[in-house]
Amino acid sequence: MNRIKVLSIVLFFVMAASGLFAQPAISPERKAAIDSLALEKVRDLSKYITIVGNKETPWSEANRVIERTLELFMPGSQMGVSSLFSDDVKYYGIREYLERLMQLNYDKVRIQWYNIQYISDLEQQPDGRFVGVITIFQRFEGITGDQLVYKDTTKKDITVYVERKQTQIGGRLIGFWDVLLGDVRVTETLP
Amino acid sequence: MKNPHSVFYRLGSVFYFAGILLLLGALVTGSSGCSSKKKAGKTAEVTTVHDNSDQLLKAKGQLLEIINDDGSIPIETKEATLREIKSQHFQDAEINDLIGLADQKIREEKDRIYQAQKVTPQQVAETEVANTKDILYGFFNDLVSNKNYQESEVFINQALKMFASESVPVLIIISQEAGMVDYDEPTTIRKYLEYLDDTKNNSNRINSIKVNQEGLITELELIKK
Repeated sequence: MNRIKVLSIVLFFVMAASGLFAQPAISPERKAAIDSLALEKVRDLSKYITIVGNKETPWSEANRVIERTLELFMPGSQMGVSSLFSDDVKYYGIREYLERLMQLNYDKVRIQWYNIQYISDLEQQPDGRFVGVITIFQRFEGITGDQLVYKDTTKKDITVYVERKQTQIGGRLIGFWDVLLGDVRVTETLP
Repeated sequence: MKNPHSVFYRLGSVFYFAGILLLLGALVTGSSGCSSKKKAGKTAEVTTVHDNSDQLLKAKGQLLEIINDDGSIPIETKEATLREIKSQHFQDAEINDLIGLADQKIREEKDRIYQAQKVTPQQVAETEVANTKDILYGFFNDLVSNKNYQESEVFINQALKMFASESVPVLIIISQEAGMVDYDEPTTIRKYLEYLDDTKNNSNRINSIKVNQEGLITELELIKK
């Protein structure tokens, strides 16, 4: 009898420590809204990268967009960069990646993201956060003069973290979903 | 002393009898006139009762028309008819009940008309909010469709003039369920306008706005389309 009591107490503390008690149930409709929100953030990232990479974007605008882009990421996140000329994948901090993108030695840079979709659905973790992976295909074209001098297609996986937070606005408590992007890993590079 | 044979005595006698005759005649005439009047009065009374009966029926019909009206009779006509009926002071319980119902009917109809036409301060405020929303949404569309940086900056600055400051909070509802509202991370109006310009993604509609006494927006709430 005592052993059962001890086991029950131990089990209670294990569950409490693992956060199982902290997971509020979430309906499929709310989950779908979160899924959609995270996908939208990745689409926003693709627009920002296109703007920063575009040589016609004014310098001040590009820097402003870099700041907006950084707000999408968890601090310390990295972006993988690959090349058809190397098997290595280099990883840069997001700011460094964007600044390098601005300074690429082409007259014109075209970047397009497509097939943006989940490869690993957002799953709730014991700490209450949702974590998933979204994959994208990136088409890169570097043009000098009238010549397309470099092009590749890269498949990249982006880890997405979604966490419920609260803030006070106008005396009201607002519950919001904070979507943050993690590392962007290169999984495939094709001509 | 009086002399019965004098001229004056005789004249006096003649006048005396004439006076008596006149008095008698007057009495006879008066008596017959009075009788005529009584007859005439009796006829008038009968006529009045007859007229009242017709008017009562007519009034009842008019009152029922008012009560059952579906809006085809102008309100002024109904009011005039009811006034006219009331002025006749019918001593009839049914008529009084009908007058009460007609009064209520007209009052309700007038309330509806006032509600539709009368502009209350709340209605003015609601109209202004609706107009503000339309103008603001117009700027959103301008930014999404525009591809020129300088023009975008002009649109952004024009839109910002509608706000109390550039840091006015923008809340975006992503889902609502059983009283639970989920938002995207709150942002500011400047950042949101720049977001529209950068991403060309106008996927939210305006849900509500809060304005201060100067009519400037102090909070903007959007909702996913």
